[in-house]
Amino acid sequence: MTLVQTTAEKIKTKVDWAITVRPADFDEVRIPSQSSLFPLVYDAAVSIHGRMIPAVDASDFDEQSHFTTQGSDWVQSSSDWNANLQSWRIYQSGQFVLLLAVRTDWVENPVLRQVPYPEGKTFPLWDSMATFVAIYEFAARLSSTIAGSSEMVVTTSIRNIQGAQLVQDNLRKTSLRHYVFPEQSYEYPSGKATPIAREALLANPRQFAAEAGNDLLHHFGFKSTVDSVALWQSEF
Amino acid sequence: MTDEEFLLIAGRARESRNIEFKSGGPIRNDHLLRKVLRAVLGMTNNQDGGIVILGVDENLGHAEFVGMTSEDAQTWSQDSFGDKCANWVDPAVSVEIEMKRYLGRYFVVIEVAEFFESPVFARKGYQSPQGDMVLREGALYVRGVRKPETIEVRTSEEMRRLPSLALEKRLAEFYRLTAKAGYIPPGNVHPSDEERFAKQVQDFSK
Repeated sequence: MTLVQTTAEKIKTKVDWAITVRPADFDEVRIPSQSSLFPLVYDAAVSIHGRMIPAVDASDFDEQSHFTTQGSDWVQSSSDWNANLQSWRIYQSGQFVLLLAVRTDWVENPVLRQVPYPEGKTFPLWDSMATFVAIYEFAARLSSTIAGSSEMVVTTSIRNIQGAQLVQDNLRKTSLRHYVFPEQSYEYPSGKATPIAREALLANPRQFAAEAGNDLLHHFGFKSTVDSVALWQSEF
Repeated sequence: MTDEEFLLIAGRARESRNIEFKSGGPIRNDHLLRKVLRAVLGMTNNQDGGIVILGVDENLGHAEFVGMTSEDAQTWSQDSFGDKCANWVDPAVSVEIEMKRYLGRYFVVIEVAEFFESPVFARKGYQSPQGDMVLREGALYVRGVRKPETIEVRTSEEMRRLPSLALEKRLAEFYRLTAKAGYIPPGNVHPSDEERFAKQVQDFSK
């Protein structure tokens, strides 16, 4: 198993996000050249909250890089650095999938934290809100490339999340009451995903991010509103 | 195949489950012909059939669209290749041949349809002058699961794929006939876009 594949499997061992961004219609060779896959992701990646989502590095353009690998119609890259575990794959169909670890699961010794996180499984509020912003910003950028289509589908799954306690990872914000995720996993949107018009996604990706973030918090039992989430997310 | 499709394949220059490259030359080149027949067998026993493109040199480790002369390309006519196929494969294979011109060079494109009812076998055997078994009498050839190459069926995994493909075809034919008779089947026989996307990522995200 390569380093790239090992990281993907490692991410799945704890709480993980599985994010899909794709055109609504299937075309196996929407992107004719496999060599253009990595640059598409590189150009659309979002720098937010101190990290790149998806994780890309110019050195990974090198086909010999340990952090990239490719199949017959896809390219995959992984990052395993300072609790930032990501593995993504993009296909010539335009489908992009990102596996993302939850940072608090992999930080062994949180520095600068006067109040330690509670014992057991935790889920960081601030980081997750940033992740949603990155997902929809990235989806908007990708939609306007050759990988995109007039309608896009964006889905988020968070797996193994049952029992995770929502924690405040922004030291400047007040800590939270006891909110624990009750279900085995989280899906957004729930049920069959409705395609989003490219124009709508490009016009206001943060509106979609706020709606998604608000939905997740409601599953924790946290009574936020789309406006309040949008306000938090405006800080990124 | 449209010129645009050919350009896409030439631009990608990579074999896939449904695309195989072969070097150029006239149909009277026996060794080349047998290799093309083997590729055709692999494609017809493959889901959705496939395309064999002649005129591509892979000796340097990558696909180079070097082409062939117009005279050599013209020897690969529908009739001449159809006759050869009839002698070497069983049951019959449906192929369409056309010549393409790209960057001033000539190529032959053989579009191979997926088998009609049952998988197709090699009727005769052929060993290359170097001793390689290109075709084995009575053998079944398929496209490899892990690599885009034509291989002889040797494993139970490969063998199992063919009957299930044949079954799918019979089911599709059944639905086609019943639909013609006025019966609306429950659901779509062909996978939806969503199912195709989901299938694509199942080894990664699950």
